[in-house]
Amino acid sequence: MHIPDGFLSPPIFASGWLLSLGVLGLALRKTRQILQDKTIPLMGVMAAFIFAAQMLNFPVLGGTSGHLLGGVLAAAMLGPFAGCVVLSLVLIVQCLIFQDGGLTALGANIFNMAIVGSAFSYYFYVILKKIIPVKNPLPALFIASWFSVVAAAGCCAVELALSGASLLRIVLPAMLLVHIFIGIGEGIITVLALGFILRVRPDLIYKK
Amino acid sequence: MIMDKRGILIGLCLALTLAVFSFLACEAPDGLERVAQDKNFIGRAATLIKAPLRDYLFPGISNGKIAASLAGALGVITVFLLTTGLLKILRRR
Repeated sequence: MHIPDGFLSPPIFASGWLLSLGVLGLALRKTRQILQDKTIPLMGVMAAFIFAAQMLNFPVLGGTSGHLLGGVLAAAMLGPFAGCVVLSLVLIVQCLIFQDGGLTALGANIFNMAIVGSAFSYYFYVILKKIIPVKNPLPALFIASWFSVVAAAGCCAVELALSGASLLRIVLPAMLLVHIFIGIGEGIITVLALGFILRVRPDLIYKK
Repeated sequence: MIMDKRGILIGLCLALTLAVFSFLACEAPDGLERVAQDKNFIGRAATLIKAPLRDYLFPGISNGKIAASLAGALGVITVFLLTTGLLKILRRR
């Protein structure tokens, strides 16, 4: 879901930059408060893992692929602010070194995938954990990570429509439909990964 | 959140393994690309910068699988070093 250069109009990508820089500044300040020497390598490994996992596209529907975004996975492991920072750093490297996502669109991509797809969706996960009457956090994790992909796709569609790339009534249903399926993959991978860590190293997982 | 050297090494090796096998990834267009093709706005895509490892391929290597593996591994190391380096600076300030 990395938006390339050219898709977004200047007012929209400028707004994306402004919003993202503001939230990212806040996230960096909050991350700094919880930063210990031992959390730094964990964040580094998490960023490296998400970068690698994002390369592994899996097939969905006919002739389309999707890959892990990892926003809810990172936030469940590291907390919403550190999760947002990790996702942003992955997006910055993908843009500057791998030409995945445009330079002008980087702000919007950070907004969609690091802010909405990680920090915001983390709070949805917290609410779901309270609503779902089981002790195991994995059902809430599955739904929240599925939601994170659909929500990021919805934001992307709105930005495209506001940029005049397509009409909202055309691009929004199309983006939501394909990402409803990609989100299932996101949910499965997130549950497998966090379920594994819960079993072997539950001490590594963020506790509020 | 305490992570020992062994944990870091295991995590990094796992990420490197995934990256090295990235040539197995499905090559079909992703969700956004597909929608952009179907809804006829893929033509708006433009190239502003020429990134060194475009399309997750290491340049100058004719074997696509090796080029993808190398680019992926280099990316994993870059992301790890950038994240830990930046956070160390942030912590010192």
